Amino acid sequence: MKILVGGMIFTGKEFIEGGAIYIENGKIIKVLKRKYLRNEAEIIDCSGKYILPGLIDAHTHIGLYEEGAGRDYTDGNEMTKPVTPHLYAIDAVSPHDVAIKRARENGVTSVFVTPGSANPIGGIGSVIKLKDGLPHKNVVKKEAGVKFAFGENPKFVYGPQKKMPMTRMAIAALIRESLYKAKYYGEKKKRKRDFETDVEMEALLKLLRREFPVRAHAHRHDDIMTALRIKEEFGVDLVIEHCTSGAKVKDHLKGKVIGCVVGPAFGVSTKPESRDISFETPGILAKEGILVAITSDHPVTPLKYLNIYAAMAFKEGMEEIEALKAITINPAKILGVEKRIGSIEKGKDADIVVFNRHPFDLLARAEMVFIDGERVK
Amino acid sequence: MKVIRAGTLLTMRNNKVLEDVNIIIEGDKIIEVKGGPPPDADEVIDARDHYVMPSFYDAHTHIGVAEEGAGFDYYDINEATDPSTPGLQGKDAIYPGDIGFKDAQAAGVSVCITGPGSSNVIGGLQAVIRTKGNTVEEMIIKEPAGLKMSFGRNPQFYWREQKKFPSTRMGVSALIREYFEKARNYRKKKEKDKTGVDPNMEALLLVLDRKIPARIHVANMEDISTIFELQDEYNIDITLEHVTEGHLIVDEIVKRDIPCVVGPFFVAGKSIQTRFLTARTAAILSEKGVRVALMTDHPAIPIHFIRHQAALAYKAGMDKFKALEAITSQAAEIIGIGDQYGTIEEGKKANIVILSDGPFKASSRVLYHIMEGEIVWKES
Amino acid sequence: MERIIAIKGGTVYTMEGKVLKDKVIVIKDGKIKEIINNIPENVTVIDAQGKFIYPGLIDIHTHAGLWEEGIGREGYDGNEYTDPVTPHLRALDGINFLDRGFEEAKANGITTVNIMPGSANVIGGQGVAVKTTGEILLNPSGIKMALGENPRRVYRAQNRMPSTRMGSAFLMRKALIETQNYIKKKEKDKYLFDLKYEALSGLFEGKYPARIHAHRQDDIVTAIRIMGEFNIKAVIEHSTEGHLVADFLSKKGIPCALGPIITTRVKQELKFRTPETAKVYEEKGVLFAFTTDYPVIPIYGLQLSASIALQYSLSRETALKAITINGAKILGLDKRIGSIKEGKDADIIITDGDILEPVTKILYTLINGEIVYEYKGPESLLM
Repeated sequence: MKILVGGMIFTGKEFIEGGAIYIENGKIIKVLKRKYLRNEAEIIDCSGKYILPGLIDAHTHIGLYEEGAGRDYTDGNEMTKPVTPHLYAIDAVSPHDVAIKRARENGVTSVFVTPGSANPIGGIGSVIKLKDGLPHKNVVKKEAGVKFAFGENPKFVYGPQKKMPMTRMAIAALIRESLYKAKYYGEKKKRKRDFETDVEMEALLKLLRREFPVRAHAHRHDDIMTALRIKEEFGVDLVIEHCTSGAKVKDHLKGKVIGCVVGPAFGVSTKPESRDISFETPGILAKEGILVAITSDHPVTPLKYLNIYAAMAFKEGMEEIEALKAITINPAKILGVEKRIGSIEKGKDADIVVFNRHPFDLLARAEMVFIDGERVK
Repeated sequence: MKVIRAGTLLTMRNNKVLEDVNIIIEGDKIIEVKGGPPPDADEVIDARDHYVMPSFYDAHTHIGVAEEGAGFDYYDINEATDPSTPGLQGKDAIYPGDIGFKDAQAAGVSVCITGPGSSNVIGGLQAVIRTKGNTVEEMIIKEPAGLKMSFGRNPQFYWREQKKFPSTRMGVSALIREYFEKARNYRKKKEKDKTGVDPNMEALLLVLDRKIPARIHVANMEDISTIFELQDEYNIDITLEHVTEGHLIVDEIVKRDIPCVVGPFFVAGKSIQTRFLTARTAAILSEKGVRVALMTDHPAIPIHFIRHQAALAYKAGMDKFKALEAITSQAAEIIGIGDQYGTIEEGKKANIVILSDGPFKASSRVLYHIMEGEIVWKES
Repeated sequence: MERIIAIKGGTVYTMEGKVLKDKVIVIKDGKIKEIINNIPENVTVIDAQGKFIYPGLIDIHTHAGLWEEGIGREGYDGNEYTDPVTPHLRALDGINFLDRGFEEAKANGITTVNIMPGSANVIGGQGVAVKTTGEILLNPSGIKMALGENPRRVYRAQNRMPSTRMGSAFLMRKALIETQNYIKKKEKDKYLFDLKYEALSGLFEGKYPARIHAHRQDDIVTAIRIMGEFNIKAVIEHSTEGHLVADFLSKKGIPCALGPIITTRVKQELKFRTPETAKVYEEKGVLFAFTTDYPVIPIYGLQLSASIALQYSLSRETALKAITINGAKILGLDKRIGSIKEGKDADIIITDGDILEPVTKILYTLINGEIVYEYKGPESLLM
């Protein structure tokens, strides 16, 4: 048993000053608002520190673009055909990627790893913990979403190959076609008439049954609206990724999406569709009551600075508590794993980070990081 | 009847080194191994000053299929026009006149497994062959002996260059799932419809029905991890070939008791895929109880250096006897012929090599190579 | 370096003709000071009792650091196949001295390597001889050239000369004739300067040899013929079919970098590769050193090559010379390296057995008297 004592705790929902967190067998078994010590435990003094749930990034490509490995070692995008719903990003995560260790040592403990945005339908993403060892063994949720992509990226991968899609219209058409095929497949499966298993269709069928959401990469407002229309048409659950122009369509997003995974905003806009890049967007959306997570989109911006991106959102008007939620409990909810991670509460996994300063302080360092109760830093 | 008078004998049944023993051969089999004076025989080979052991088994080659010395046009090793070609049979491409076979005979290598290469994700069926014969029919010992599958750099880079699916690791495993599902559907259909026999699907069913293993070329942890997932999803028998990063995840391999064919330890420069390549892999896996065989991957390393692969493994810390088993008894077992081959004991096939000195000695030469009772090589 | 080290005991293969036992090798300031009977006072002692001592091994044909270990195409810097004649390129400018290949060399007892451009070009560029600590011994060490399948395969695909052996030979001759023109022109025009011809001039001045990649017997003879026309010193690289023209090589006094003998015979010109070549060279008096062409085979293939040649009747004595002093002689560095002799650099290896046995491990590697590798258990093996 370990007990983290003192300091300022952000549980994911509220602040507790001078409390205690009890950890045993990889789980949080108790959270007290005041100190109470049991003798036989290992006491870890956290006075003066800031304790947060292990940080979560709901949109990364970690291990798919291994840092420093070069141009041939890229696995995030199957750019040979536009609809690949059955690909698993986790089959390509390299455990040797130094980015995993670096992020972990800065307090990021879990991420959603997903195919990229070359394909209108890219494949299945998983939630994994940033531990060493076999990626498939570090899975929290193997099927946590299917990646869709709208906008410029698919157009510029397939257009030059003289393949569909060359236009936004074609992206939407390909997606609709695939979802109707899946619907039909679902009907045949139910009736068991001329039924043959098709791995591509199975993934889309699970989407139609709302077992996990569509994770729709969309920067511009029109692409966001297209995603919303498709959601209405098929009744699927929807999360908007990046949501760069989200402020423009916030009224349409309210109540319709599970949430928005906003970012990366640290950088210049390289494309017309991302001209509205801004750290103000998370705050604006949060004020509307939309569930907002902040993302690095690693390796577009480094995963290890996740707390800094939240700090920038705070700087640009997001409330402190909302910005903290956006890198802890909110992504956990969006990923459907909030029963296990995302907050410091009784019964949850002991994924915890102890910073020496407020996590929004540029000089803050993660001094201790726990995953499943084990100290990894 | 032939008799070999062995000065030093390694039977490879166990770790014992026998001295002054007679091996009695009748036809293609060993009928007795015993000490004392030698019985009368038509032929007596005096090896009293030499080392006698089972001849060698190379558990992963492309001999005969990738013909040596003839240039790239004669490489029949990869039908790289489609990433999945399970119905191809390696035996149809074996050229018995490949100079590699002569080298194998002169080096004491009696048996190899051979077949398609690693450009395709699902490459085709493999055959276990003896290294002597004028026709493939004379050479085959067992076939099909496995289904070749490949993960990682080889298939991925090839298809990426072709701009065809699969160009990513995600694509490789997705392709395999697609084909296994198709095979399962085919199996159901077959029960009703006898007119739709598909040789590609038949080959996959051999694996799904656990009649043959999938022998999977793999280097990296993420691919090994994916293979474990597939093994669980489809309940198939597998071996791991090369398994370059295997020493980084020994425990899981031990838990699943997967045989590993490790090597070759002589790769031209290390890429990102092979940055952890080390001869230590064989030692570390073997120490933990994993069944390990070695390979030359001929023609990647010429076949007659199989003995040196074992020497290098031993140098890197593998137990001496385990290193020798990895090119004899354990290799024979992993390629599926362990019941009749691989050791010197009564009832087994008379596959024997007589060396001038210990197997790991630099100057040691092959004096005799006996294959199923027949002398196929003799030093002149 | 003031430090004095003494290596005590063991069997010393000096490569100077004698095998010594129970002696003390005294090293001072990076050089072998003397070989005596007793340990001097106040020195660091390395106990080699029961062990074996050899000069540091030398590989005269490698691409260490030029084709980097553990990364992809970003690390391939050995072949500039945009022009078949590039004598002005320097291997030194492409070498990553922090590449793992150098660590592997030290861990396997190789103390000096000669690094050259690859064999895609008819004239590839300048090689450099370095110690595996990075110290430059000779720059340039030679001009790399190539005949045979490689240049013609590369440039045929680009629809350029050479696409035949005649084309390769022509380009070689043409470059040398143009160099002769250049040398003459310079006598009149003192401001004339051309980087390509300056590099080739060194061949005419005898500053360094032409190092010519040739496998097949006809390519070997073509190389020697052309260099003979211009009176340029030549070394033949690989010399795979050298045993078929050994008398010719011997008569012309052409040294060879032999190997790698443990590769797949994937090219037609490798069809007759055999470790027997070494024995034939020994019989006919051809000076040769083994080579790995690293990273075509791993660097420890150097001693493994020598080891395998024993099976084909090469004498132990020649096998040892071919991985030490012969390479030094071919590079023209035998005053400094290649044997254990007073006055030479203290590049020494200590092993737990006969270096020609494949299972022998390197216990210590010293370069300039400094321990650059020490065996600390199986994890310290780099193989």
